[in-house]
Amino acid sequence: MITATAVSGPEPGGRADRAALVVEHLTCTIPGPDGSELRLVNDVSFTLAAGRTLGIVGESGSGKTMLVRSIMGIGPPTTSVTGSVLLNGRELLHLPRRQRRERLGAEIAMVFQNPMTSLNPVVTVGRQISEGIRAHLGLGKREARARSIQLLADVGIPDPARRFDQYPHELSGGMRQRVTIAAALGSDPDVLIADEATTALDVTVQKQILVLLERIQEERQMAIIMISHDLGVVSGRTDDLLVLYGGQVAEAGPTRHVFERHAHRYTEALLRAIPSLAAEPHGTFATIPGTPPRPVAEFDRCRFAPRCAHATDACTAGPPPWVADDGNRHGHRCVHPSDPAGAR
Amino acid sequence: MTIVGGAGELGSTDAAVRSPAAGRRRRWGFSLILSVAWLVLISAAALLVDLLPLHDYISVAGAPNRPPNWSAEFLGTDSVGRSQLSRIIYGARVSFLIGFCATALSMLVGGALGLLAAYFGGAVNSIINVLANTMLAIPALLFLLALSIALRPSTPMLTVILSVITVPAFLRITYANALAEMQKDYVVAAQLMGASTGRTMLREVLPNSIMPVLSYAVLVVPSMIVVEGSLSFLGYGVPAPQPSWGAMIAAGRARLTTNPAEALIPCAAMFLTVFALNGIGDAIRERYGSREGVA
Repeated sequence: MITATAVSGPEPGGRADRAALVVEHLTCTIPGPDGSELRLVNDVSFTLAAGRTLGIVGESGSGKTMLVRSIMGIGPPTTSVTGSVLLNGRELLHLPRRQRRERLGAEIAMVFQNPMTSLNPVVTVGRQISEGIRAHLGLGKREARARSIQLLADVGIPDPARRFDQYPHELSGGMRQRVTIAAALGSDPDVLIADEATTALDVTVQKQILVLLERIQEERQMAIIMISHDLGVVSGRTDDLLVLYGGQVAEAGPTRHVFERHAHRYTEALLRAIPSLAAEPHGTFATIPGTPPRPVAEFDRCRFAPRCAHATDACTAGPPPWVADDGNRHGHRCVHPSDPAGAR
Repeated sequence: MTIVGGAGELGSTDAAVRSPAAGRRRRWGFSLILSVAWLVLISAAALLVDLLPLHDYISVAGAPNRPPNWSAEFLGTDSVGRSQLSRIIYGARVSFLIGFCATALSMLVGGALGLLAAYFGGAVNSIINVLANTMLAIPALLFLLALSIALRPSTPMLTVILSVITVPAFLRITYANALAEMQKDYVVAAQLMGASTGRTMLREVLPNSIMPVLSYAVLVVPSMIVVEGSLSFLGYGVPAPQPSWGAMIAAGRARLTTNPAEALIPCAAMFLTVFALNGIGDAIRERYGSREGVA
């Protein structure tokens, strides 16, 4: 089976290279309204080492969110997920509910896109942080409170003892996102998934949150999956990059390598769409014509071909093979790559 | 010039900000104060009735069929000489007890079913929905009469039977609100932190979908009182020696020409109570019921 693999190897700095999360052949389908099968995630594989950051990029509808929801096992009830998700070496998929519950939060946690809706409006922020801690670490009320206040301080909230007893509506958006991060960090997870965690925030706050995540990662040797449609956000802050298109991995590799020697025409188009200060003022933005494929569209050909300027008959003749450059840990799924030398 | 203009602008903004508050204050006016006063009076009397120097509702207090007058029995007596005042107050007890308890019970059952239906969806939702539709298909008063005639229920049993009729309404309201809340990230976030099903339902979904249910419940209480009154009027409400406003109206109906007060006084008591509860319910809903402002 063709797979995309972006293995994070050991770095010269001697960071831990223990695999925190290994996803293999993850496929997620839901029944469509007319009884057909919608394939939202198709055969995705990647490995994430402890202390490293993986960026997942793609347009809306590319399957980013469904991918992480499948990993966590929180899709709609009708979702069916196949493949394997090894978290700290142990299978997470298809666990009995109770066992999964013990691991969610403790080993893997998630920060959501919209801080306005990701906190319970009728519970104080302190309780929302300390409840997870008490459940997973078995701490008493007093210790959990102390730890929560420490966490609030860690994520840069001034006067944490007072904030502990406040309700979410008393906090600004940036503050709330810090609270959700503190809650996610409560039980010291090994993997943190940030699903567009900064998209809903002001640019300045966005930067603060990203710096915060980076600092926490340094301190705790935590693995982070950073999901974004903003290549600017992932460019400098991820070790590896996974470009998702139509539920499939289009290209994967070390972030710098993907940026510099990108092969897939979709990655090329995405990179061209980043607005730049050097661009002519009041000019038109570079866009990708067309819309992302529907999940029912055929997987037996290049998913991007209908929107691709370089598409030929070869692109629709069969599923494009995964072309891997193992030396650079870089791979793509393009019949007419833009930089054949770089990734082959 | 500029300063004056600026001040004028400030002043007008201020007035614009203040006027809705002033409007709200006006609505908290005369009728609401009267409503609260009546409810305080009648519920205090109902609660403290055993301490008051009154006849009990069953013994003879004086000559029968006395109209209202300037004595201790200022509301007069009924056809066997029982104190109308005592019977109105004991009747209030029954009305309030049934009104509040039936509503609470109905809210509990309907709310729980609605929450379960919203949380689990699928087959659970279908079964609960079929139950609710079945119940809605049966005319409420017919259902109540049939059960009352067949069972001749005691007061607690009557409360249970009454509570059944509004279960579908509570179910639907809870279901709709819980379903909306469940889509929100904080519920998913709680599940991702390893919260159990029960915890997620009771701590995350329930508190955030309860407000519209409570504000509906405030309006159900008076209608429960009216329904209990109707059943008692027809002779199938609370069992006989126990006074009930509905039964008192029914008894007074026979002597409407000779002693109209006998029927009109319990009518007035029920009217005032229902009017007051509705008015207060509306005021509460106006102030706290709207969820639009809460993100």
